[in-house]
Amino acid sequence: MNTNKVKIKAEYLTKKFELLPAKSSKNKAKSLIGSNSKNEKDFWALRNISFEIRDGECVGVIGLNGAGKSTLSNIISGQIAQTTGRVEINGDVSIIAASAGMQNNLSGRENIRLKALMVGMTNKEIKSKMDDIIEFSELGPFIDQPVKTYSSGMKAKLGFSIMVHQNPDIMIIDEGLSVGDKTFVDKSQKKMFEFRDEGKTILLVSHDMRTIKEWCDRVIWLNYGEVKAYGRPEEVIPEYEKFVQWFKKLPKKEQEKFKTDQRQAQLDYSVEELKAEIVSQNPSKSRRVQREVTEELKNKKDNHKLSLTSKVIVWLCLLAFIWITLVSLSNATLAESLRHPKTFFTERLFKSDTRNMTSTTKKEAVVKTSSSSKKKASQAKKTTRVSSDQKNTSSSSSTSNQNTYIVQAGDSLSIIAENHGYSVEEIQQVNPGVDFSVIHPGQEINLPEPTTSANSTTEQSDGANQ
Amino acid sequence: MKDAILYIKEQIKYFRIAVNLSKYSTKSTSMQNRLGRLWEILDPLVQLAINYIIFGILMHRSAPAGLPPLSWMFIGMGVYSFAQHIIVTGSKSVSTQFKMTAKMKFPVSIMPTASMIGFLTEFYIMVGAGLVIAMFSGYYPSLYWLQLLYYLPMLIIFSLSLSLLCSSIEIVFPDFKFFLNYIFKFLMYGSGVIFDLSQFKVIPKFLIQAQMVDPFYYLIEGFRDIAFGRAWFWQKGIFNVSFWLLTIFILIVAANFHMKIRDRISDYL
Repeated sequence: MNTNKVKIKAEYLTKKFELLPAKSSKNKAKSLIGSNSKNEKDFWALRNISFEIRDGECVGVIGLNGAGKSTLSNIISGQIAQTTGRVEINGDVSIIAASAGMQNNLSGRENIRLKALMVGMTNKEIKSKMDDIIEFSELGPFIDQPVKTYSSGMKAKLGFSIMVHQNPDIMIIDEGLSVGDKTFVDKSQKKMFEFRDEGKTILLVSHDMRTIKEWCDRVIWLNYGEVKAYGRPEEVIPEYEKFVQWFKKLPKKEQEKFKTDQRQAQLDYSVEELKAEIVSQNPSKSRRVQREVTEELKNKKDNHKLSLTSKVIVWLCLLAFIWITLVSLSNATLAESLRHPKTFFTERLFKSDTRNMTSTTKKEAVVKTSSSSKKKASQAKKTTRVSSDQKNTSSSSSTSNQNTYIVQAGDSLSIIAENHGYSVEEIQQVNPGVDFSVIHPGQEINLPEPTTSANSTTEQSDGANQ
Repeated sequence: MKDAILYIKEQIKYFRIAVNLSKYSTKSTSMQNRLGRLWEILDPLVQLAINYIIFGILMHRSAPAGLPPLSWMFIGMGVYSFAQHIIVTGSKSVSTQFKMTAKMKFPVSIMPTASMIGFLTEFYIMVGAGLVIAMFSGYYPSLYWLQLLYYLPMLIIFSLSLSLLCSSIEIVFPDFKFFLNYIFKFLMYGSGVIFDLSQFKVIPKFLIQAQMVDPFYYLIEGFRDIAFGRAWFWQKGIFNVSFWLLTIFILIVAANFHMKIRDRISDYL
């Protein structure tokens, strides 16, 4: 209490909830991409809240339902993010609400292990603490039963026991102990006072004024999203009780009116108003400081815009990927597509790649020996493809291999040569090691590279072969 | 870029927690069943048996190039269902379990990783069965098995990046999970998991030859290359590049989306 180390510091804290008829995914999608349009139906659950909590303090948060108590405790524990402002937290925060974060199917003992492992304790530490936790929780034989069979009081006891033994710096108790019985609450209170003496910070959210009076050094009174009072419990609590009494005594109509007025104020609030409030609160501040405040409010704390380099990388990756996809959909190689992008798009796209067909290797060997210029080769490849397409429709015997000829009954080398427009020597040249004096039906013979003029003859011969 | 690096750092830093998380969540689900954790092994085996009866005995499924059809199919199914599980469950895990992670001291980005670890057993069993069956057909362990050191990390990195992206989309647009299911149903047939697409004459040749661009097909074929000792991954040329480009693209975009909405997930749900 006497030390001046700040544990929790909140500055200009606001929290906006969007009231939308349905959870509009359009708006959500917009905020994902970046731009967020101004929304008329915003509800400000917290408005311009600033406070400091030092170590060794126990601070109570009081207020009517809907005053923003739970929102505040959730922001401090990091479960939801504030809209503007800054929360500074020095230390580990642990929150206890009934049955928070327990696996219902696991037993109490396993839940202790799980939670302890997740805060980073080692197995050895857990072992040494396990018995203490079980003893403190007063669960006895139920500790090995699944948590789903527990009553709410048992769950709260277990949760509290785990939390105390985690040894956090800051503890938030959000109505967590209201379900516990008197003996357990007394025991926890003793433990809490121990913690306070050790210099730990406790934030207690409760409606129970007696507990708050007993435990707390200071009290924050939240009223419809604003701090109405922040001070010693002896001062704040009587005031709060007076307010509650006054509110209760109001006729029903005026009660309603008071509520709607307050709600309307929460709806009408805006960042501009917050700015004005901050400026009016600090008249002594220089212009420069004011500008800083404005900048700070504008810049949300998480600035996750893609930097230019990453944008470039992302687009390059995407474009290159699309390009490779297109290349693989064409009959060109990557190098070819880059060299002649125009022909690539006009002629070669969405064509099957003949190079990858079954007979590629054989055919390309032939191509290499017979032709020297690259242009001729590609032209030849095209014609082969044409002829193979024709053969696909007309003949079944040689679909897979365009450049070989399967000898039919009654063929001789000279007849084959004549039919295909080659000389006998040419055929012998591309079939080294084949004895052409004895050819038999079914034998495969390589044919030389067909020329454009030969194409028509191939067609004819196909017809004849049928 | 910055976000992607942050994401990777978080994965490394909180890996131990992810392992614990997955251990306890599988324990929690298996506690409901009488056979408990045995189902982790039984479930994939039963699936394999069903497929063996339908495709192996009834349909006499043949794999391309005379490869043993059953191990061909099992490896495909193992890899594909692993990726599918990571992406579908992982994308759900962020929106359902962020509350728990907020109370604990670790980032929600490790939730997909935690669910990934839980699916490893099933993956090992299915691909392992494929490899063992391949041995009966004469494909013994070879140097090609070293490629596991390449393909397994690639499979995990790709699936995790995609699941991170899908998780962000799902938070913003909850109906996305249906589309995700349809997409995966379609991709299962479109990525050569159970049958080879090139046997269908209706599909134009140029689509077949572009199959390798499909990252799932790339990974599945990679694992098949390992089993049957067909090829090294660098022989795939530009398709490696296309896979990496796609992965980098998804990782950067996903990490950016994730970091953007992470602090405000509660506002979205």
